[in-house]
Amino acid sequence: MLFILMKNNLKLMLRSHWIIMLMIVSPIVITAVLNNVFEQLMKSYESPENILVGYRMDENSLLADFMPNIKTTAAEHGISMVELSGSDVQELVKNNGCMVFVEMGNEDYVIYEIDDYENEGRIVEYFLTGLFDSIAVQNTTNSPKLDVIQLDVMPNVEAKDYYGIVYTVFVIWCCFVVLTGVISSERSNKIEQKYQVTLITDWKLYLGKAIPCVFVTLIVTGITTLASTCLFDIRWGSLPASILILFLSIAAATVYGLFCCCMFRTLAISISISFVSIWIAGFIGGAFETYMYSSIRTPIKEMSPLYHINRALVECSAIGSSTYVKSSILYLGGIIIVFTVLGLALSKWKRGPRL
Amino acid sequence: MSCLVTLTKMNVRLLFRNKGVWAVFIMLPLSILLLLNINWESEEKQLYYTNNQVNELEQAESDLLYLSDEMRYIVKVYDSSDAEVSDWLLQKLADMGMFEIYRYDAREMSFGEIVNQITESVSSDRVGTYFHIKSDFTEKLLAGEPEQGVTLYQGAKDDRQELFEEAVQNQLKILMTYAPYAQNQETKLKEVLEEALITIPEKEIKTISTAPSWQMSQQQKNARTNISLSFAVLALAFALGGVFIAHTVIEERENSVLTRIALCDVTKAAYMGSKLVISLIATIFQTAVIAIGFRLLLQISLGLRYTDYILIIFLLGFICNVCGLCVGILVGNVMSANFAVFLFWMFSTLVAGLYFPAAEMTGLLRVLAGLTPQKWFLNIAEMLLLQQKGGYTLMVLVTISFLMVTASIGAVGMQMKERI
Repeated sequence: MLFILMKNNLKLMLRSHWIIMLMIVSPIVITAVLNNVFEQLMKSYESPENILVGYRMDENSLLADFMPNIKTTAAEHGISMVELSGSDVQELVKNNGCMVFVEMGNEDYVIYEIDDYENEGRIVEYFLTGLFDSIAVQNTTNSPKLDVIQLDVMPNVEAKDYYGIVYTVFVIWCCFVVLTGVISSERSNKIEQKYQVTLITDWKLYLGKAIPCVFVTLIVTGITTLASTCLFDIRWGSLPASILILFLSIAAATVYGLFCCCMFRTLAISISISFVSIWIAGFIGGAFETYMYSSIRTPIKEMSPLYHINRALVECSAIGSSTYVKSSILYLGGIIIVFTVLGLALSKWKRGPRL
Repeated sequence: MSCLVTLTKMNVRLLFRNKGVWAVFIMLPLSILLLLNINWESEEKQLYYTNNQVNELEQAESDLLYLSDEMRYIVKVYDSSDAEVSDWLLQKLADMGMFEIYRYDAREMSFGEIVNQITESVSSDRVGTYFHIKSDFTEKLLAGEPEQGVTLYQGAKDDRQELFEEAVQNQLKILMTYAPYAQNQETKLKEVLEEALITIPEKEIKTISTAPSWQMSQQQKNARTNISLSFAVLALAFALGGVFIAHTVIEERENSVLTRIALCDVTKAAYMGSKLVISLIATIFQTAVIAIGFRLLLQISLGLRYTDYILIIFLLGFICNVCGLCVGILVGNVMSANFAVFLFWMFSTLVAGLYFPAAEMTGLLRVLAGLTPQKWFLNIAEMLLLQQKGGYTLMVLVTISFLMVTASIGAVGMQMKERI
């Protein structure tokens, strides 16, 4: 009986072509676009090269004597300094394509930083401040040897890996939408009431929906993961841990979706509530702004299962292991048990006593 | 005209008969408003930092992640020395412009505690280098070995790591040059330094803006964050509202009501017009719920005038509602449309820059953001926040443009799906 139920539900689920197509395509499209746009943002800082600096010298500037030395040293640091004449700094910058402008006064200097070239401005500021400071140092003084300790840190995660992983997880959490076809058909045809005259148990009715949903999502996730891995070369790091977390996520998302469907009679409310709750979990858990750079407080982040899952998978991808693997497995296990029990109890209570 | 009124009346009845509509129209916006009241962000976000200054931290565990600005390199200093000369050293490093210096007075912390905190926080923070100034820094300096009084703990690989190391070396060299003249007295060393460094030319920094600058105060920035988050979540309530209207179109199609309507001398324009009118009514209804909820529930400041904010929400909501309607018509199935709208909304709020500062957007992201109504309305909200001219004109233009595009797509979709 369970097998027949599963087979029928599976057929119903596979009829939702749009949903299955969206589940396969959306993580791939989102990863492609976000990888493109966040690639630069997630890269580590690199010093700009070939900085063009315009400068103007006051007639009586005491700094004039230093200028040849400054220009030579600047050139060694990739900074080309060009003397310009004219009164309007903004015009000079615009006409000569300067990234930074320096005005050498009598005993002082002004650095004009241009908002499009902030990085270059900082480099020039650093360079000139350091250079003028060095006037105060005796050449005979040796450079002190500093005690530098390199800390063990996680290497930067690439945007393609981050968003590829995070959106596979996020779409998994929306997997209960494949169930909506089954549930709406059950409700409109009063199938659950009809089942009450059969010997089928509540547990089997529950499994009849949960197992095909897990099965369909597994296939969909498999296709998505394979396609995005081939297309964007996403690294999954420790495969056994990642596969286990993804599988548990599918199971947890299914039971959570079934619980939401049992909670409200109107399917639209169930869908809206579950979407909003998953969005909140994703918002906290780094599905939109990366969890590394998000300003949400850590205790709040740790409340979201998606934070544990995303962090475990991303860290596995970057360094091969993560302390969050254990917590995400525990969290997912907890969700599976709690929502299965609640979902079963709710559906039993709503259906009333057996005939 | 009379058929438009009849169709609209019929649609209103059909729409509000659906219980799900009440949940999406009332419960969803209200729960979203409650959600906005939660203080998601770390308290330090409100911490103001000053460029080219040493910023003092009150708590050793302060998380500096969000304070970092892409252009500056964050240095967290654990200062265990009670020395004036460490103030001088840190001020000189901050004055270089490239480093954002945060100092915690760590005299009460043991060496082990400091190292533990550094190793624990390095992976969850964006600090580039942790700089420990030891308690015996002054003694070591006066003994000519200042390097033994400091330790640098370097985090993730960054080109600026070496620059900071070099800057510390150079400043220590200055200290080593003048320490012998201080006759073993720290107070004297500061005087010697001030006297000696008087010859260094003074620096001034000015900024040139190539584009019209929208300089916001920290308060306005916080208000902008709240506004963008409210746009992000409220847009979903409106878009899902649109799907419910699409549901009426789908039902009419499935029950052959459309064929019967077509036989009653109803034009396509009247039919489509009635759907837009019902979309407008639904938006007004949802906006009214939000307007009341805003007064009763929302405790955060949005910086805008109440009427301006509600007007923006209404126009943005109308566009999102029509978008939801179009997606619903195109997909032709309510459940799939809900999912499609959810994914579409999620993606558009992401690229519209509602979750991260617009300044960080790159070329393609800017183009994509320009295609989302949320981004335009965020710009309008910014203009109104800064009391700039043209906000209302832009509001009208944006609304008309987006409505024309989405309504046309919806009309074409309806034509494609079937003939009335």
